Amino acid sequence: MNNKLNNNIYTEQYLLLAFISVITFKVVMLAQYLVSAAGNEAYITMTVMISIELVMCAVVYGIIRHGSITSLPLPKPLKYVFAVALFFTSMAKCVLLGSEGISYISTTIYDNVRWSYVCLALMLVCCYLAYKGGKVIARTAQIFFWLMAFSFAFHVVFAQTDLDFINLLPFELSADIAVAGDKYLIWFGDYSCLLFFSLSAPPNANGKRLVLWTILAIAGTLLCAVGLMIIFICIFGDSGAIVGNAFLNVSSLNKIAFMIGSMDLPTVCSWVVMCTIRLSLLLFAAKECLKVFFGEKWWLSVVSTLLAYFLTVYGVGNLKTSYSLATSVLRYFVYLTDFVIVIAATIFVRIKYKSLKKDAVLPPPATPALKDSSTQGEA
Amino acid sequence: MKKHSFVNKKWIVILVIIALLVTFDLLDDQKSISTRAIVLAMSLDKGEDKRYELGIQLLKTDKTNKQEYINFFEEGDSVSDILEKMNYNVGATISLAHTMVIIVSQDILTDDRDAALRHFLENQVVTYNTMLVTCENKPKEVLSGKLTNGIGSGYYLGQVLRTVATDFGVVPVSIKDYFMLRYRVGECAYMPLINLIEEGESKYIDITKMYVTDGQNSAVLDEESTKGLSLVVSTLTNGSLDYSFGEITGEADIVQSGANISINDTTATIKITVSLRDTSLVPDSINEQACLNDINSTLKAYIEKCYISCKDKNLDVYSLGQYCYAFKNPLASQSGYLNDINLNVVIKSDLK
Repeated sequence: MNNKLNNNIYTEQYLLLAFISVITFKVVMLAQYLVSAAGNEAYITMTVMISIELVMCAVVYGIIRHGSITSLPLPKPLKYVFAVALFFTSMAKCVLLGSEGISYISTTIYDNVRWSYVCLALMLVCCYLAYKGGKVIARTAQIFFWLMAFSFAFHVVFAQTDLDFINLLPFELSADIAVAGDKYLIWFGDYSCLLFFSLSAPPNANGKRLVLWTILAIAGTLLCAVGLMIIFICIFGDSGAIVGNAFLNVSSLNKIAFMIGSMDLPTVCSWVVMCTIRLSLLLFAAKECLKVFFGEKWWLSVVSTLLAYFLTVYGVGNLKTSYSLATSVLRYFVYLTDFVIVIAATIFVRIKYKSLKKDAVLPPPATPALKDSSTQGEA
Repeated sequence: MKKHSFVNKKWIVILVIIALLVTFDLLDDQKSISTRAIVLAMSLDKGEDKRYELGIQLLKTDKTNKQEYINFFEEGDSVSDILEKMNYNVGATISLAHTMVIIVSQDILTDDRDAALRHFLENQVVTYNTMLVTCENKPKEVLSGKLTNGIGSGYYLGQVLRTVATDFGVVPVSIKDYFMLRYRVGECAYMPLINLIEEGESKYIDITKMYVTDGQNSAVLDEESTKGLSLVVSTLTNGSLDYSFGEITGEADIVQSGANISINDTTATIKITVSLRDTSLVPDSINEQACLNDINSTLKAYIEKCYISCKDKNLDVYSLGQYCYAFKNPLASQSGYLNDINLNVVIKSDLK
């Protein structure tokens, strides 16, 4: 398959990937961490940070309409700097947040299985997806979207939780909100891996349909991240600070669990799929960064995966170390690097394409897939 | 020339992935369900030497469908130590994920700073809807008691507590509810107080009282106070109430109830709304309002009795401190704030 086509996705697929990228690691351990730092105001931290992230996803959308960050006509030194920085941030997120996924699988799904086994199984799948490229990741996400939707509907229908809204009060804008946002910064800013896609409008592009999907994606993100946070606080109150894995624990409180025992399968399956896609996105981003230096090589995704594997298993090794690293100074570097690169790329795109537009050289953005792929390389 | 689909690279990769996953799954030391001891109920106590005493109840079945409840007890310095010892003694991996109830001693609730219970919650070894009860007897006695109906007392408790959640009486409390309450202002939590009673050859469990504690102080609520508590903290759909008017007596069923708590300066108002259905033969001459007044005064007395019996021990059973905090009332930051709060109970009921 033409490599240019490999990372070319439709807008609906972008929305779905952005949704998965943003919420996957915000619905597990982060809820506990935020409650421990901001108490009942944790949901405000989540709302603010998610809002920033949604805006940044829109900014990324504006960039990749003109092509992926690696295909933009950036000056070579700048491209190298971006590639190195993004490789580092993708790898850091893959290792630190991936540890959460591996810990979840090894302790919750299994009974203390060794990290090396879980990591190997997970990384193998992610490596294959990263190797196949953005389009395959997007299609995988599309296929499994229905599993996620079913899981969500299942828990809405069978939910049995006593929500005590008094746990959310008082509504105050205290410094704890900012402290929590600062301490757990690395869990936010999950949009830089989307820079490696290029967008094209589907052949039967429909403006109204796109608006509907955009609204659904934004509402879904807010509902899953902020909504879950609110439910978590209503159920557990301040004791949420000692309750890990919000997604699993909230969804395990359903009518079926009271009748026939724990019914976690839909939750487990949907989250593991989301985790796999998220990690694949990060490995894919790392591979694309390496591609800037080494060109199109099959082993780039293998190298990225091996590096992530060894860092996760032998460098981090447990959730405690992962937490210490994630809350260290490293978080500023990761978050700010992603933020600065996206802003810098936006500025570049605005300047470059404004001047090109005047000369009427460039084709309009987001044209149907095949036409777009044939012109992007020349851009 | 078109390649045969089976030698396609895609299939080779998929086969390699499947082979690796299966191989690593086989290599790992996963316990099959037949080598696991599924725990139905647990007891937790502290001995005189301050060591923990943990008990587990298992159900053993055989091909003849004969069920036998087996109990194991072990002592240790920490819960994790005991569980490790039990794994060895029982000869199977102890699985607490299906534990329905934990019977804890009153010492554990007032003298342990929740150390043992936190182990269960933080390490997610039990599910969050595992019920907590305390007992007047020793937890070990309750767990090992076999009821007249042949059912293990721990298993029976777990079943019963799930059916009385909306009843006018004891309020079932899960481990997550317990910690949610303990992390509130006032740190006051409650749970059913059970009693294993032996009368001649019959053996049964009495579940009519509640136990309230803030980790140090504690109070026992009698049957009436327990009903008062259930009215305030639960949404009831079951239970009955006696009423009298002159020489007429009757009984009404609770159809639906709800509670609302508000704090204004130093007055805490608890508003209870109850819908009742008369189950007795009602003469035409009955004064419905007078009957309702009797019901209202009974309910009010229950709620006030519960509040006063807890307030005497400085226990904030209705989480009024949390309401003060939620509505930014300065009382929340004062120690002994219960002494400054006046309780006003308003009952609104209708009888059909």
